[in-house]
Amino acid sequence: MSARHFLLLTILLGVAATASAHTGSGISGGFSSGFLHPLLGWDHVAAMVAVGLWGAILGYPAIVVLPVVFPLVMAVGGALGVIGVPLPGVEIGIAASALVLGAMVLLAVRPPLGVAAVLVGAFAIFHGHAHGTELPSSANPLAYALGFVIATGLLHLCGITFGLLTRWPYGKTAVRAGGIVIAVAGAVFLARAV
Amino acid sequence: MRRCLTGLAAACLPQLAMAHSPMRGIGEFYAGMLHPVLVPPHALALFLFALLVGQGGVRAMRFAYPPFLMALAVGLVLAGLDISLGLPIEPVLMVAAFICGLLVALQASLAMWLYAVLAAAMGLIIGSDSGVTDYTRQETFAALLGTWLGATISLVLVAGVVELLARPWLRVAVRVLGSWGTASAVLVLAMALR
Repeated sequence: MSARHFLLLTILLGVAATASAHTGSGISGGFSSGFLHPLLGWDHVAAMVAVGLWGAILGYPAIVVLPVVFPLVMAVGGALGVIGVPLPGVEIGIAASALVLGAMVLLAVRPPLGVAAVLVGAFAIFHGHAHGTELPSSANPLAYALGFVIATGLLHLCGITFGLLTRWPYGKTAVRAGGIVIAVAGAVFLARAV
Repeated sequence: MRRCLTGLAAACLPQLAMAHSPMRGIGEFYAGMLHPVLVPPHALALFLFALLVGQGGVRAMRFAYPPFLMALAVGLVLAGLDISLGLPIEPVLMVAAFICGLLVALQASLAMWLYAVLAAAMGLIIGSDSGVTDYTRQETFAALLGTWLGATISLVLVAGVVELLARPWLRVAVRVLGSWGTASAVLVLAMALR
C-alpha cells in the first residue's frame, strides 16, 4: 500500500459516521425522539416560528403571553392524543395554523391580546394532538414530553429573535417577508391535507 | 513521513476517552448526590419547585427551606428503613410539578405558609422515593446523605439564581420554563392514564 493510499484510507476511517439502525429508547431515546419530532415536520416548524414572529410584532405583553400559552394548551391537545380522544381534521388544523399565523405576520395584524391568545391556543391543540398520538411506545414518557416541549419553545424563540428585527425599518420588511413564506407554505400544506 | 501519517491517523479518530462510566464507580455518596438530578421525575419536580421558591424571593426561601430539609431527611430515613408511603410516587410528583410549574408560569404570589406546605410535601415525596437496594448499612447511609445534600444544593442553587434575576426578560424566561414544565407534567399524567 502506498503512502497516499494509506493516507486516504485513514481519512476515510476518521470521517465514518455511526449507523443507527433503530430508534432509541429509554431516557435519551425518548428525549431525542421528542426533541426531533417538531423539528422534522415543516408544518410544525412554520407554525411555531410564526407564533414567535407574531409575538414579536405584537410586542409586550403578547411576546410573553403567547410562548407561555402555547405549550400549556398544546399539552392539553397532547394529552387528548395520548389517551386516544379523536380530534377531527388535525392535519388541516396544523396546516391552517401556518397559513393563518403567517398571514397575521405578513399583515402585521394587531388584535386584542385575548383574541391572539385564543387563536394561538386553538391551533396549539392540533399541534399537541399530533405529537401526543405519535408518541413512540418505547420512549420514556417524561423525556419525550420534555424534548418536544423544549423544541417547540426553541422554535418560538427563533421566531421571537427574528421578529426583534422589526425594531429597524428594513427588519420589518424582512419579518413580513418571513410571514409570506410561512403563509405560502401553510397554503401548500393545507392543499395537501385537504 | 511515517510519523506524520501516524499523527494524522490519531487525529482522524477523535473518540472521547472515558476511563469509566459517569455513574459507575463514583461511590455511593456521589451516586446519591446525583440521584435527584438524574431521575427525571425528581429532577423536574425539584426544578419547578426551585423556580417557584426563587420567584417568591428571600422571604419564600426562609419559609420553604427548613420544612424541605426536614421532610427530605424524614423521607430518606423512611426510604432507608424500606418503609413506603403507599403512594404512586411518579404521578404524585407530576401533579406537584404541574402545580409548581403553573404557579411559576402565572407568576403567582402565594401565602408564605403555602411555600412551607409545598416544600414539606416535595421533600417527603422525593426523599421517600430515593431508597437504595443491595447496599450495606454504611453504604446506604452514604447514598442517602448524598441524596439529601444533592437535593438541597439543587434547590438552593436554582432558587438562588432565579431570585438574583433582575432583568425583565429573564423573569419572563423563568415563566416560560414554568410553562414548559407544566406542559411536560400534563403529558406524563395523560400517559399514565393511557
